[in-house]
Amino acid sequence: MITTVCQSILWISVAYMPQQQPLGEYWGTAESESEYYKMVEVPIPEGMAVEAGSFEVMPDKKRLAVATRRGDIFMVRGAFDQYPQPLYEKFASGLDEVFGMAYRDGAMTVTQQAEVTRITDLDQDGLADQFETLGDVWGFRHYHEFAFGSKPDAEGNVWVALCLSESYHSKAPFRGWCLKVTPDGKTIPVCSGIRSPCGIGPNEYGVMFYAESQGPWNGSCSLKVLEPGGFMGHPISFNSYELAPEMGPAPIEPNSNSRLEIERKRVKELVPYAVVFPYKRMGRSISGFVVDQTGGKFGPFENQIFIGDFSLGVVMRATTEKINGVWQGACYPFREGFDTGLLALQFTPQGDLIAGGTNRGWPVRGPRAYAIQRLDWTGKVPFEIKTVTARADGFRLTFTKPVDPQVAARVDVYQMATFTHIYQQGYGSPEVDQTTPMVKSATVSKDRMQVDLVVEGRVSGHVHEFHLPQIRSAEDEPLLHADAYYTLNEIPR
Amino acid sequence: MVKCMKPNVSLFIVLLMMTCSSINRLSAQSLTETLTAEDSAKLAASALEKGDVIRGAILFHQGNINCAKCHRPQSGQDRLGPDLTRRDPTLTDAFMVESILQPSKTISKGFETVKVVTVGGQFIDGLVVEEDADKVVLRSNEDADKLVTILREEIEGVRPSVKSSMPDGLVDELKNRQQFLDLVRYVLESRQRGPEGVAVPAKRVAPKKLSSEMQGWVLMSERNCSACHQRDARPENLIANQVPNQAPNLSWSSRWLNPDYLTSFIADPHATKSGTRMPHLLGELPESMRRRSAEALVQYLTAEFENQYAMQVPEADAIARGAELFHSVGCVACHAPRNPSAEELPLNDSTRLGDLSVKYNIDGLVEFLENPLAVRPSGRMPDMQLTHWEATDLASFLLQKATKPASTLVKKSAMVVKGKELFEELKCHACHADVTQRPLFRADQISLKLAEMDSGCLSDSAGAWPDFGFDLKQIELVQHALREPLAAASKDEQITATLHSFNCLACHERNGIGGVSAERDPYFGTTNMNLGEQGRIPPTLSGVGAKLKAEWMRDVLVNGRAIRPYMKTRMPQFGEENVGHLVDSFRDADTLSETSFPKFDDQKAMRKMGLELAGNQGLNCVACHTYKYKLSDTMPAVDLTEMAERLEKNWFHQYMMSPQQFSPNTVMPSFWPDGVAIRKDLTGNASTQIEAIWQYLIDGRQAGTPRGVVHEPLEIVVSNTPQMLRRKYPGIGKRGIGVGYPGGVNLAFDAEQMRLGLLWKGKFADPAGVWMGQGSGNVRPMSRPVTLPIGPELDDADQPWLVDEGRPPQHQFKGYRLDEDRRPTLQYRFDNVAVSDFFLPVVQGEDGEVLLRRELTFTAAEDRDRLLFRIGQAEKIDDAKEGWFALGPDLKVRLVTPQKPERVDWQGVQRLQVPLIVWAGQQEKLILEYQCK
Repeated sequence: MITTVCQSILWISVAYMPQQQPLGEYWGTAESESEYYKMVEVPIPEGMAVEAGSFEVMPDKKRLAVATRRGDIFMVRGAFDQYPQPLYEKFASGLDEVFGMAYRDGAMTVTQQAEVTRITDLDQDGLADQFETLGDVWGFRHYHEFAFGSKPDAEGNVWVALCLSESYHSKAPFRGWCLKVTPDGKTIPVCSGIRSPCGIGPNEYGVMFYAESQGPWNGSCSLKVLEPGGFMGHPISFNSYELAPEMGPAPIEPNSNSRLEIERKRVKELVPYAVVFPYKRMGRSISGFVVDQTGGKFGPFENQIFIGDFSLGVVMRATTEKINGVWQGACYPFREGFDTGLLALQFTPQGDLIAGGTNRGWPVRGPRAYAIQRLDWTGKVPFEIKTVTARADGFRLTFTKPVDPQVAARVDVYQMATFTHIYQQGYGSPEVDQTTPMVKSATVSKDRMQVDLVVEGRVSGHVHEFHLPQIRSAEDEPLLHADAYYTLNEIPR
Repeated sequence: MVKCMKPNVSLFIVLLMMTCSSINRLSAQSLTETLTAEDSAKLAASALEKGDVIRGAILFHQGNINCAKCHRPQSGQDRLGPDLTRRDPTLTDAFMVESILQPSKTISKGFETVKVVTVGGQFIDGLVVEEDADKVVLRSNEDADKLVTILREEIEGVRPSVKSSMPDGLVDELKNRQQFLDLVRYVLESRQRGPEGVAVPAKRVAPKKLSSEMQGWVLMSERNCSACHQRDARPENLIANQVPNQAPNLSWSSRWLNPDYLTSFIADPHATKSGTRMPHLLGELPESMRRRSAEALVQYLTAEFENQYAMQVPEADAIARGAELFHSVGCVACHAPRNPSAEELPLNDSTRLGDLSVKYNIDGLVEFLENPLAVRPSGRMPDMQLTHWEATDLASFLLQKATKPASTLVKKSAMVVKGKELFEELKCHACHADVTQRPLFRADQISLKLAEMDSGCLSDSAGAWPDFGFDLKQIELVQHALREPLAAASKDEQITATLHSFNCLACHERNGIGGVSAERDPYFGTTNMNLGEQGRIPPTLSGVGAKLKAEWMRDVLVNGRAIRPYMKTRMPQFGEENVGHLVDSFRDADTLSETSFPKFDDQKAMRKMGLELAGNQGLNCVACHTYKYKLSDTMPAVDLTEMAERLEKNWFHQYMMSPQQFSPNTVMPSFWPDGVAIRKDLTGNASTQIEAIWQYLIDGRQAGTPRGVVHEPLEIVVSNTPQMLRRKYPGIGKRGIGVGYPGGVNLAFDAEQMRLGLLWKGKFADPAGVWMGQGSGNVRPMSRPVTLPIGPELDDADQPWLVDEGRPPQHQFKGYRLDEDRRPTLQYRFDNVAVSDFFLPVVQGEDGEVLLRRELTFTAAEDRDRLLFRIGQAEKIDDAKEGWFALGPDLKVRLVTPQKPERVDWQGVQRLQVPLIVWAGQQEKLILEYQCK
């Protein structure tokens, strides 16, 4: 009886003229990467806008739930097939920018702009019918006040990282905070000082981290640990301490135009940024991340963090460790060439890595408005720097394949440099205080899988760059990616 | 009286492009007829006043009408229509208009057509392009691309025709009167500008076919002579670049192919697959021995590589899809087309495939098509960028005749041993090195310098040498090449040799060689006819080295990067080792005169100017070009945000001045013909305008959105099921919840303040403000909503919250639940009172007026009195009939339950409110009905 009337509206854009820095250069490795990690399209039906913001594998291990910026949740069958021809069924709609979703105990818990919501399909007909608000204590007045929710922690709590108002201010309660929402609907403040998060979840040790973007008080993007009672670096959110008496008084204000390394000694709550991603070389807007717990199905990087980037459409790796009580670690290039801006990552039951997002709203290298793509390990092991970890006298590098011991024992093949950022209220920071450490010795392990470097001239608080174009594997291959970046907050005692 | 809407599931988000169909054709009178009835002089005046010269320029070149094809052909081609730019006082504006509308009324001198009557009684109309004593060549009026040669002896008579070669009714290809005015203005103004000078564009190399020596070398490279022979007689620089066509990976074939086929093929390659590059090696053996030797070889190979061939039957749907793919993606550029039963149709210069169903099964062919370079590393069969499912469809089409039962290969150990010996003896590993992992020793290779010219491989007798099945012409070419060894091949010869080897010339023209042949032309399709030939024929390679940046060219050649989504034929991937060298070769060979770029100080200002030029108030690039892959309203021409990454600046400048000189098929108009800007009213002269566009384009993906880019229009359409969207609505904070109900009544609830915020009738919502860009806007109700006052509806009567924009401290949203018809019941609390709030559209009365009924249920654990429910406010609340209260002109509300509403004066307005008491353990119900205009 009711006919669908198609109405078309012409939307004429208002011309604007952004003055932006150019997007970063390509690593130029996509072609060689594809030999090891093949990019597989997970097609989206024509006319369906699926701007993925969060993924979840359903307990039957056959369906992938995809939640979107447009507020839909789709159940996708066939996304894990070798050659996907998936079928999308709508589970829920009408939500607001879903950046966090997990299915536990028969219900889907999602984080949307306004709240954490538990969604249930009571009559089991495949369509959600109950939407319970679990937590919404934070203010939400501006569209840029994005909320990113973790998968539940061991106690079932969803950790929510709340972007600042317009990404600069704190004009509504708890903007710039991390709160955790318990399964029974309580909300507990965790820490302050967040600027503009774009991903949240546990690191490889199950400790909750979030992905922060470059901007005021953040010289570059970084992975930071959400330490309860901590301060993540941006002081504008101190106005919400009065709403959270259990957190005690607000920290003292950090000084602008300083260094994080200096201010963390003044401001005891200030948590050093665990893994700094050098701007442009390693993304411009790091986003959703996951830990590889596939048991080796995804190749040699088990228990490492895989993290996407919105602007550049790349996936990078990261590893963390706790040194002298402080989290720190390294990041490494992994795979470039995604067709859209990445927001969310998810491992499939088969051990492939699903990545998706949109290129809407901000400059993005990938041309497609939205896409879901999958990385399948081809079974070939790339020759890569697997990990960089800190040692009392230097660093330990491990590799994915045995190295050529003659080359690897030469100190001159390890090109090192360090830098840090200005810790300041202004937007971002150039790389400053550059130094060149000296590699004094390089000791190759017996199995040729690791090299211990004795390094003179390390600088606490600096990012330590490794550039190893000359290293060769035992089969004489060069590294697929010759670079790694270690944030040395603490030198092991 | 009351009727609930019947619900059902479905959400239609309508994504509609503004596509204007030719509406005028449906009306009784065509556009031509309408316009012909008008006064030509007035039409011309109207065009000069109201026509858009830029849109006119675009139309002049656009595929369906394409005036430029005949009136402004590329240099060197004959002009089929008069030069419209010539200054001739007899050509009045009115005359021009008339000629466009009625081409045959007055035919310009020199363009009169003739009617030829043949002895067979046939009539052919056309323009004489050539005539001599024996024949007349006409360009047909029917098809301007077609030359018809008629022998004098077949001609009965020739008489002047009254028909112009310009077709009638061309104007009907336009959408409307405005387009006609745009076109006329462009034509009239180009006459004022006068004729274009002949720009000197790319340095053109005269068409040059490969010399016969080079053809010989290419042939030898294709037959992989260097597998056995030293490359000692070859031009040194050819050796560096030209990768010989190596034999397929035999270990792969042994695993996947039908062993029966392998046996027949080895026993007699040329008879089994005509035109094969595989030489016959068993030719000298008697017939019976041949078969047995071939069997032994196959026994060895299939045992060594675990043959897994088994017959598979394809699906009918896949066959049909495969047929379409085969004839559109580019297979037919090299192979012969096939009938629906997949039998090859004869077509010259085709690489024959024969009946593939005796050779492959589906799995095998899919495996091959998905990555042909893994099987045939030399790239002559390139990777067509097929998905797994496309490969499956193609295989299904090609193998549809597979009916034979699976071959049951009985393994015979003795034959395996024998086969292995034969393999060595026949030196099969010279070409198929993958089988033994051992190529021929260099010492075993025979010098080509010492090759005998008419014995061995080059003789036509069988013997202890491979028989390549060369024909006489091929033998001559090889002999010629060997007799007259070249010291070096020129840059162009090297390029041409590569283009020959990989058959690039089947699709691309370069310097007069190659291009799509007439027979294959029908297999080059497009998804957008507006682009004309450019939309379906792969671009010319003439001058490509001066056009494309090195990295981009490499991406195209090696990674098959493509930027022309409208072209059905795909750019294949040939493999870096095989064609990677072309990047440098092209860039070395192709040069372009230098352009002196205009100087400027303020880059920011230049970019701004470029952005304006790109927009629809400027040169309207976005009328045709996509911007960040958002379609323009006419055609999906190459994306603006990829231009600077692709193109050399020098080429860009020169191309923009004179597009047709570079790209003969293009529908791109020049906005600066003869170096003079069409839009003089815009800032800058020709080269400054072009530079400004370039400065704009080098921002790439970050280049600003030009005016006129059409965004996908959005509407959340409510059909049988209510639709919801939580976002910002006008007058409501960010926690708005919109609900559109079937029947055309909609509301937005404010989950921050627990109140009904908006009510509207008709269509539901346009989410563009929140689903586009960063999403900073509002969800837009599709008609003007009734706005209800801010502040919570339920509050304490004595100590109400002092209303502001924020969140009332004792109110808490709890969520919502959808009933079986997917209508939400909202749940929230005020202090200790739980509220459940359900809306239901109801149809009332004869006129079908839809009301919104609202059922509120209040419960509390302890008694709670002195509550107030605020319904709404107005300057003055009037009583309407049947218990309705009128809250302003657009909204009426009434109570269904027996509570007594009050009208109170409050802050200068009247407020309608209901005092409530909620008793512990009891449900207090409040039912309201809203009627809005």
